[in-house]
Amino acid sequence: MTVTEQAPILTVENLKVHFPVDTGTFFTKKKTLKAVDGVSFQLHEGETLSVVGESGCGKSTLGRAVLQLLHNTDGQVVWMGQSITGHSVKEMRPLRKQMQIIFQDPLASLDPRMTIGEIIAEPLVTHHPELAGEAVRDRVREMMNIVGLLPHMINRYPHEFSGGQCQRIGIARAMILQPRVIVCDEPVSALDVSIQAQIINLLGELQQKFGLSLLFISHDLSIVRHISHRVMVLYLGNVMEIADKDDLYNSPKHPYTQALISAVPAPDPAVRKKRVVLKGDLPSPIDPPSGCIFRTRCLYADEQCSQKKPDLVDCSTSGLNQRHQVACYKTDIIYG
Amino acid sequence: MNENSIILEVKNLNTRFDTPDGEVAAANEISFTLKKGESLGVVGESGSGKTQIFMALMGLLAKNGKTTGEAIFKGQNILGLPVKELNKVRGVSLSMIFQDPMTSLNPYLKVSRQMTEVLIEHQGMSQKKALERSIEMLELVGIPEARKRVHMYPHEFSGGMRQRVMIAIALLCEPDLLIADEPTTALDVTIQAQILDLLHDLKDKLGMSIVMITHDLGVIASMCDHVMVMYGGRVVETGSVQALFSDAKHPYTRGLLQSMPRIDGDHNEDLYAIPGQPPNLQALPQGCAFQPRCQYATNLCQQERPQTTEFDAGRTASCHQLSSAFHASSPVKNNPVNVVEGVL
Amino acid sequence: MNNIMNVNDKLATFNDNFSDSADLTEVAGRSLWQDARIRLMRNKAAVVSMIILSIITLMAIFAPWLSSHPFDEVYWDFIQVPPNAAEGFWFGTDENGRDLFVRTLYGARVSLMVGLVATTMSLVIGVVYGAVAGYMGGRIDNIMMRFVDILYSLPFMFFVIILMVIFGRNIYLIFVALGAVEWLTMARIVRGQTLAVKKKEFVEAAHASGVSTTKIIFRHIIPNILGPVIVYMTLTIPQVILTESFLSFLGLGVQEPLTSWGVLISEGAKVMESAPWMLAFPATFLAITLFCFNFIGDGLRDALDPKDR
Repeated sequence: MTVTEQAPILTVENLKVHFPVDTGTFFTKKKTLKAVDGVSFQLHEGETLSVVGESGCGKSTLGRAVLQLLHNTDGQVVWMGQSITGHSVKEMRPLRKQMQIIFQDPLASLDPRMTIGEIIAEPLVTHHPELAGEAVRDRVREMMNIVGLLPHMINRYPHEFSGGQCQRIGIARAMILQPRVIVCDEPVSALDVSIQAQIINLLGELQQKFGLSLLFISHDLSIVRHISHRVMVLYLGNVMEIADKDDLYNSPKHPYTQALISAVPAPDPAVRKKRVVLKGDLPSPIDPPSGCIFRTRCLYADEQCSQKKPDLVDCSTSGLNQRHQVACYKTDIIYG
Repeated sequence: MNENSIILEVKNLNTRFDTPDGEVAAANEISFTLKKGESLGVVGESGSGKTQIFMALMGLLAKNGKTTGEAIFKGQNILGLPVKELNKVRGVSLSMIFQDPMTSLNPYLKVSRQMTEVLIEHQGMSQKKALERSIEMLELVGIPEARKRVHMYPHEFSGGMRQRVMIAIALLCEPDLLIADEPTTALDVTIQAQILDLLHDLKDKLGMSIVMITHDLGVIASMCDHVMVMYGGRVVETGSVQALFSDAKHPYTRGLLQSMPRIDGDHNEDLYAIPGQPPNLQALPQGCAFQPRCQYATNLCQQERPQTTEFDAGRTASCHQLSSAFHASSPVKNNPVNVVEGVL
Repeated sequence: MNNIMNVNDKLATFNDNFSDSADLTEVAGRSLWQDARIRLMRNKAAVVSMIILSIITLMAIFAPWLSSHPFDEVYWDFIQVPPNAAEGFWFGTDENGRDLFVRTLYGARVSLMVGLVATTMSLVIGVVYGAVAGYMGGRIDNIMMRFVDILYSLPFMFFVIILMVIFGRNIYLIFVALGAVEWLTMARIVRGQTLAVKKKEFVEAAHASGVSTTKIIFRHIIPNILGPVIVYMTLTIPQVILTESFLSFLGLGVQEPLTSWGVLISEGAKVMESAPWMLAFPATFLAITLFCFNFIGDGLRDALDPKDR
């Protein structure tokens, strides 16, 4: 992979998003929910970085904070060398052309009162109000072609389409300004199996054709293995492990990553494997465990783990440095 | 366990809904049998009618739905039973759990109340005995500190715990058959693994039969003995899980198997994708429902609905092209047709 | 990787499988509004109500041509006579010898006008106010809604009476007074709906595309909350008509010789025993109109939100 040689188009440094929570009583001190707590990564041109984790791990919040749809509490989002943290709506507007988002629920992400032509055109007319109506429609038809929609459907309404088609409409809207980065927030988890593959392939094609970078947020490890170059595993707002795809799946270093991978049921009755089943549930992000945040469900946790939060450390086995990082004290013990 | 005792036999079940836009046939000519202690997986896309069959069995169809046919459960036809009679069966020897545990639990009642009610109602237990039994059940499904937790409200449980509570309630009267409708779809993988293991254990421990309705072939593979594949309101293929996964007969089943992204497979090629969109039950295509998306479709497929062919006992498929060339070269290679659709 | 440049060829091959969809002309889709209209047209009660209301409205508009008698002419020979078709007094006359039929229709003009104008006023103010408060949220929302709460807590009748005393009896003042009160509830409803709609992903998508706040409110929020708003509107019209009738009944409504249903009913009630027709006709019209609006409101609710049926 040569993508690492260039400067990243997006750098996230120690990003934190905390929300104040109302604890109910009038007198108690306000608590904070640490949805994202110190996440750092780089995204390169033409690369797909997947963010995996269970619901409530902060992956969607992370995606929105990267786009500055939510303001982060601490840390930096650097877009092509320039910090965009704390930009106002106005300051962000010119940058929005280059970063877009695709949502989980294909129908809910389309305004039901607008035709799909109007929906796809909206970013275009927002950023290029000078364009004439027919020019806009031509561009929309072209875009519909690219994402695999028949252009004569331009005057139809979202509810007349199936889920997979609605997701294509959402992709067309995100693509019409030819952005550099698209945040994909669980784009296929609401779709039928036979349609998921269509959308995954489409995203792959678009990436190849336009050199897109994707931040692919998902809980489905099988899909992530298909689409990503690199994978980041998130747990309660903290990065547990980040690595190139094959490294992560072939030699997961973090006990959480191992459990996640082993929990996926293989579509093959011959391999009814013994799973590493994690005990218990996700702890509350309002009162996270001390030290290593995963220790309450970890098979290997001991005294050391409850003392201090482990740092992300390099554990690369291949030549490239810093490609495989893991936040765990026990990697040596687990691998002897 | 008696190998041959059939617990549920469904014969020619049809489910129709009256809608303002005409009648919709949600399930057609469904027949299958389920033996004691077996688990049956029912796979299909949304709108394939997989849920409606079992809603019909439970007498839970929407008001505008009606069902014909027979469903012999433990020697008694439960289709069209009056509610009073049906209540002696459902929730007692026939239970169902749903995808979203929160919507099927009453948020205003404590779990203890929701559990003991069933026992007091159906088995005439005393309040105290019912509570003991409820706690036992919660422990069985792996809820820690069940004695304390039983007095909590549903919203105080996490998603996985709520699904466990649902399972515990469904199991209270030790049903002979548990119908699980997408029980793990709303849950995270690690929790899904816990629930699947739990169901597996319970099935062995209690000797009950399970129907697993899902769209996830991984769940089917890890958990079921037999599989029934549905498409457009009809059964297109049935078989044992081994047969179906190793030698799928119907092009739709094959397509499904190939389009599953696999965590252990080859990841550098495009995924195989079945072209087109899931069928609209209100406007099913002529002939075979799968024909517009099928790469082997011929004129015959467009005109006539295929008959069901039986290969072995319990191994069937409904396709015109079963004997034709594509079965010689299995498995099918990646489909060269690019996925472009948009036809409503 | 398939080349997507020649996607049109593939579209063509793909469409060969669908002989019926080979026609690639652009088709207009069926919008949700059109769907709702079709559902509304299936609702018999609502359709009948709309027909009756249209007839009453048309009669009110063309009142001078429907009767040979002017609304303010006093017939000294026909003081308080019962319905009399021979002389053209279909509904009889009032205690001043004026034709009740034409007066009822003139009353309809005022009542319907009050209903319409006051409701439109409440609609415009309430929708914009509520949508802005709901979308902005936070402190702005807090301040705006507390202001509404304060206005709510003022006794409305007292407010109208003071206005009448200060500015004199004036039909436009009634419009203003009623509109100024009705928008409060509208604003609350709209704010609630906005809070629900603004969490939808399509609003977030517009935000992520850099669409300005004003455009998001007018293009995405308001069209998507109009359903409940329209329903509430059809239920507000009869409420306003009733309030106007009540004000007129108290003697605070329109000025003689102009009249409204409230005034007519008030006069009729006084002579209920000697001249029952004076109460019966205007009251029947009022009741029918209120019924119709309520049926239409119910029909619209079912049509706009089919999930709740």
